[in-house]
Amino acid sequence: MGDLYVEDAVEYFTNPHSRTATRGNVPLSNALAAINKEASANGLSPDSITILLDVAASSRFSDTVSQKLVKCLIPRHTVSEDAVVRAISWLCTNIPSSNLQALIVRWILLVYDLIDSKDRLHALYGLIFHFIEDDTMCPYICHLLHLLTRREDVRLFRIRRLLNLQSRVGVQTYISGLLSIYRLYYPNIVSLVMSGRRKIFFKNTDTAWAQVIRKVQARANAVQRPITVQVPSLAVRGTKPRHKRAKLQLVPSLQSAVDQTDVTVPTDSIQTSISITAGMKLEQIHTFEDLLTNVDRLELPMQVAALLRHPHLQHLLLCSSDRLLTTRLSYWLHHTLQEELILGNGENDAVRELLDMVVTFTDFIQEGVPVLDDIIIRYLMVWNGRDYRSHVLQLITRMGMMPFSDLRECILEPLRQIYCSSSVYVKCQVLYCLLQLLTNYSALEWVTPDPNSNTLPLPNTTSVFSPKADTQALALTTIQELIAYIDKLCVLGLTQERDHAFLMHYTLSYMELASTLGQRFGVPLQQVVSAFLIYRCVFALHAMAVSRVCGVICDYCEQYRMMAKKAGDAGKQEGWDFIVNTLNGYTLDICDTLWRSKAFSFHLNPKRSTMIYHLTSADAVARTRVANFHTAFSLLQHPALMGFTQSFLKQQPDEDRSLGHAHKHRGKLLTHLQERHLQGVDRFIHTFIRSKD
Amino acid sequence: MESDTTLTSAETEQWLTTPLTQINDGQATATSGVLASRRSAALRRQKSRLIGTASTKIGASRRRTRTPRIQTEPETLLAAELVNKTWSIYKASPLYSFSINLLKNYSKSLTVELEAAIKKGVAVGLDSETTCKATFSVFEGFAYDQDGAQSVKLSVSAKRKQISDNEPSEVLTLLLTGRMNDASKSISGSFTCCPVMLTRGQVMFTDIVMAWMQNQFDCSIYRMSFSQYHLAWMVAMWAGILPENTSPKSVMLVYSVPETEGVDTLTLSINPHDCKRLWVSVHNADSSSFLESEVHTFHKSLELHFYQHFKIHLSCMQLSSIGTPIVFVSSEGKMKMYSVEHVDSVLQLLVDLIVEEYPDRLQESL
Repeated sequence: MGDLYVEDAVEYFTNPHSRTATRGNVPLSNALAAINKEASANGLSPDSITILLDVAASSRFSDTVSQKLVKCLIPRHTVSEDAVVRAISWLCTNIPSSNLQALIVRWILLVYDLIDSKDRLHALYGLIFHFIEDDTMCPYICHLLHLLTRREDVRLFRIRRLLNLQSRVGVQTYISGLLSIYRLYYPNIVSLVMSGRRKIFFKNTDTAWAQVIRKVQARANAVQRPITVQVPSLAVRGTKPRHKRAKLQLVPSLQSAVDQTDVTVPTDSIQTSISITAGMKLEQIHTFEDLLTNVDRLELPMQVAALLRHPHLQHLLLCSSDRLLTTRLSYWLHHTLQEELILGNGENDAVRELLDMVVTFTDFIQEGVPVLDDIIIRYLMVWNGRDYRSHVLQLITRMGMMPFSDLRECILEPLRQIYCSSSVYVKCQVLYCLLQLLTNYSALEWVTPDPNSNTLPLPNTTSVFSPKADTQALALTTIQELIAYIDKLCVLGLTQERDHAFLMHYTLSYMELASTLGQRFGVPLQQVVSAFLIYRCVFALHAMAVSRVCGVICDYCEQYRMMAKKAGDAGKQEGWDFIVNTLNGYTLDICDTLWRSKAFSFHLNPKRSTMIYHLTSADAVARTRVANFHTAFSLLQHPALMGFTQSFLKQQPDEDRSLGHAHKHRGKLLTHLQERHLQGVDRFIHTFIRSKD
Repeated sequence: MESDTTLTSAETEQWLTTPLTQINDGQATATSGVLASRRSAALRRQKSRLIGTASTKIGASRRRTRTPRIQTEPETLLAAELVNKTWSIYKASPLYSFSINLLKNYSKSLTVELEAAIKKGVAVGLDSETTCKATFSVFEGFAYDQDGAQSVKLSVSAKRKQISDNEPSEVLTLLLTGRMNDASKSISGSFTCCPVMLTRGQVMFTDIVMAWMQNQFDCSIYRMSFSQYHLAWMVAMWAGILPENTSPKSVMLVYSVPETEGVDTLTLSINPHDCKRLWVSVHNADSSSFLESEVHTFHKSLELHFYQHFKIHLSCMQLSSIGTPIVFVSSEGKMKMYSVEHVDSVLQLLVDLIVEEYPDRLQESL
C-alpha cells in the first residue's frame, strides 16, 4: 500500500467503525506510520493534536497503539489548551493505563511552553494535585505542578499532603522540588532541610523526544518567516529609538491584588480552606451575575488597566465611591498612550489592541475619558491622518466640551486638512465623526433649562470621571458654531467631489440632524442650513437627495412651530425674523420648482425674496440654454424623478400614458413615490400645499 | 563603518577671534532645530491656552516655578555615588500606594519574584545556582523640596553559591527620585509622583524589576528618550559651566548622518574654554534663566563655523548625543554625570522634562 495522507490517517482513528485490534491490522499500522512520518518531518497542526490526543487518551485502541500515538504528537507551532484539558479529563476517568497516563503527563511537560494559554490549566490545579497519589505519575505531576504553581495555589492542606506523601515514600527529589517552590512563596510555613548544594529536582527523562520536538519547531519557524524587503522609508526618523524588545501586549492581564501585609504576618496569612468569607478573586468572575452576587467581597485588581480587557468587570469602575480606580486608570492610560502613540513610530498591533479596548470602554461608559482629550489634542499635532484613523475619530466623538476657538484650533483644523486632501471615503468618515460629536454634545452637554423652575440646573454629578464643570453657556455657542462649521465642510466637500452619492448621504444626515436638534435635545434653533446645500440637493440628480431635503424643510418647520409655541407669550425673539424669512424662501422656491412648475420665476413677484442665486435678470437663466427651465425640474420631469414618473405611467392603462395624464393624477404619483421610500416629497406637498381637490 | 571628523581646538580658537557680531543677530531661520522648537513652543502655547495653566511664550525661560525642586548636599558621599557612572533613565507615571514605611515588604516581595524568575529559567545566562537579593533603602542626602521627601534606592545583588567567597556582586542599582508621602486618605496622598528613575545594571534584571513595579504600584514605566530639541537645550545651557577642580572635558556633539554610505556619525568636539567664551558672549550674564533665543544663537554659530570649514550643514542632521563638561547625555536615555556640584541641576531638568508631559491636573497638584 502506498503512503497515506495525514488527514486520512487521522480519519481512520476517529472513525468509530475502524477495527481496533492490533494484530494483523494493516490499515492501523499504515495510519500510524503516516502520522509518525508527518510528525517527525513537519509536526502536526493543533487541531490534529487535539483529535489524536483525545483518541489516544480514550484508550479505544490498545495500550501500545495509544502510547505510540502519544509519542507521535509533535506540534508544529502551538498546542491548543483544549487538547491538554481533555487529556486531563481522560486521566480522571482512570480508563487509560497508568503507563499511558504517565506518558501523557510527560508529553504535557515537553510541550508546556507551546500551550497557547494556561488559564484553564491553572483552574485545574487542584485536580492535577490529586494525581500525586499515583506512584508512577508522581514525579511528572510534581514537575507539572512546579511549573504551574502560583502564589494563590499554595494551601496549607496541600503542603500537609505533600509532607504525608514524603513520609510514605521517603524524601524524593521531586517532592522536595515542589515543596521548594511552595517555600519560595511562603517561607515561614514550609521548612525544608536542604543540603548546601542546589540540586536538580526534576530529571529530564525524555531528552530524545524533546530534541525531536525542538528540531521540528525550528524547522517550522524557519519556514514561516517571510522574506521581507527592506524598503527605505521617507519618513523623518522618529526621535524614539526602536526597542529591541517591543512590548507585545500593552494591556496587562488580570491579577488580583495581593495584600501587602501578607509577607510580614507569620502564620495566619495562608488560606487554610476554601472559605466562603474569603475574598473573591477577580479571575473567577465570568459573568455579570457572578459580579452581582460577589460584589461585596471582590479584591481589587493590581493594575486597573487590566479591566479594559474584561467588559463585564468594568462595572467595578462605575461603582467605586472614591475616584481612586478611575484616577489610577487615567494616569496609566495617559502615560502609556503618550509613550506609545505620540512618541512611537508607525502603526503597531499592540497599540491598536489598546485603542480598541479604550474605544469599547468609552462606548460602555458612554462618555469620554478626560485625559484622553489631552492625548488626542497632542496626537493630532503630529498625526499623519492615516494611522489608527478609525480609533482617533471615535475618540474625538467623545471629547469634552470646550470653547469653540479651542475646538477649532485643536480638532477641527487638523480634521479639515485631512478632509480636504483625502478621498471621498475619508471625507465621509470625518463627517460622520463630526456629526457624532455634535450629537454627543447636544445630548450630554446641553441640558434644557426648565423655564418654570427658579433654581439653576445641577452640575452633572453622574460622570464616571471627575465631575464636569458647569458648561451650559459654553455649550450653546459651541454647538451652534459647530453646526455652522460642519455646514461649510459639507459645501466644500460636495464641490470637490461633485455630488458623490456617499458624501451626499452624509450631508443629508447632517441636515436631518440640524433640523431635529430642537425636538430631540431641546437645543434652541438659531440658524438654518445654508442655501447652497438646500439648492444643491433640490436640483440634484439623485432621488434620495430631493426627497430627503423636502423632509428636512418639513422638520425645520415643525421645529420652528414648536419653538414658537414654547415661547408663547414672550413673543418673537431677535434672530427669528431671519430664520423665518429664510425658511419661507426655501419653501416657496421648492414649491415653485416641484409643484407649480415655475422654477426661476423671480420676476413674477419681485417683492418676495427668492434665494436662488439672487438672479436679477431673465437673461442669465436663458443663457444657460436649458430648454423650458420653468418646468424642467417639476415633479414629473425632474431628472432625478423622471424614472419614477415613467414607472408610474407604465402601471396606468395603455391609453393614458402621457405626461398630461400624469399631471392630472399627481396625487397618485405622490403615493407611488411614497411606496418607493421617497416619503419626503409627499410629506412636503401635504404640509405646505393646500389641495384643492 | 564609522568615520568621525573632529574640529581641532586651534581652528576653533582662530574662528572665535573673528567678530562675533555677525552671529549675534539672532534671526530665526528654518533649521530643523528651530522648526522643532517652534512646534514645541506652539504646542506649549496651545496646550496652556486650552487647559488654562500659566502661559509660556516663545523665548520664555526654561525654569518653571511649579515643579518640585531638588536639593542635594554635595558634600555627602552618596551624591558622589551618582557621578562618573553611566545611568539609564526611565520615567514613570505616578505610583499608587507606595509608602516609605513598607520598604522592607517591598524588598522581600521583589526578592521572591526574582528568585522565582531565576528558577523558571527566565533569567538568561544565570543558572539556578545563583541567589538574588533585593534591598530597598532610603537614599540619604537627596531632599526633594523643603519637606524632606526623599529618594529611594534599590540594589539587587546576586551571588553564586558555587564560589566559596560569598561576596554578592551588584547586578542592578536603581534610584527613585520623587516625593514620597505617607499614604493618606485623599487621592493625592495615595499617589507618589516619582518621575525619574536611574538604573544601572543588567538589562534582564531591569526588565524583571520594572515588570514587578508596574504590577505592584499600578504605573507604567518607559525608557526616557531625548528629542534633539532637548539635547540642544542641554548642550547650550551647560556648555559654559566648567567645574573648578578637575580639568574639564571637551564639549562634544554627536550627529547621526542620514543614509550615507560609509558615514554613520559625525562628532564635533570643542575645547571647553573656547566654548565657554562663546557661551559667555551669548548668554546674558545678569539673568539666571536661559532663553530659547540664546540656545538658537549658540547652535547657529556652531553650525555656521562648521559650514565654513567643512561645507556640511549640521542643521540637516540629528543630534544623537551630547557631552558637556558636567554631563554626557545620549538620545536613548543614557546619562553620565561628571561633576558633583551640578547633579541637582541636571536632575532638575530631567524632572522638568518628564513632568511637562504629565496631564495638567497632575502638574497642578505637584
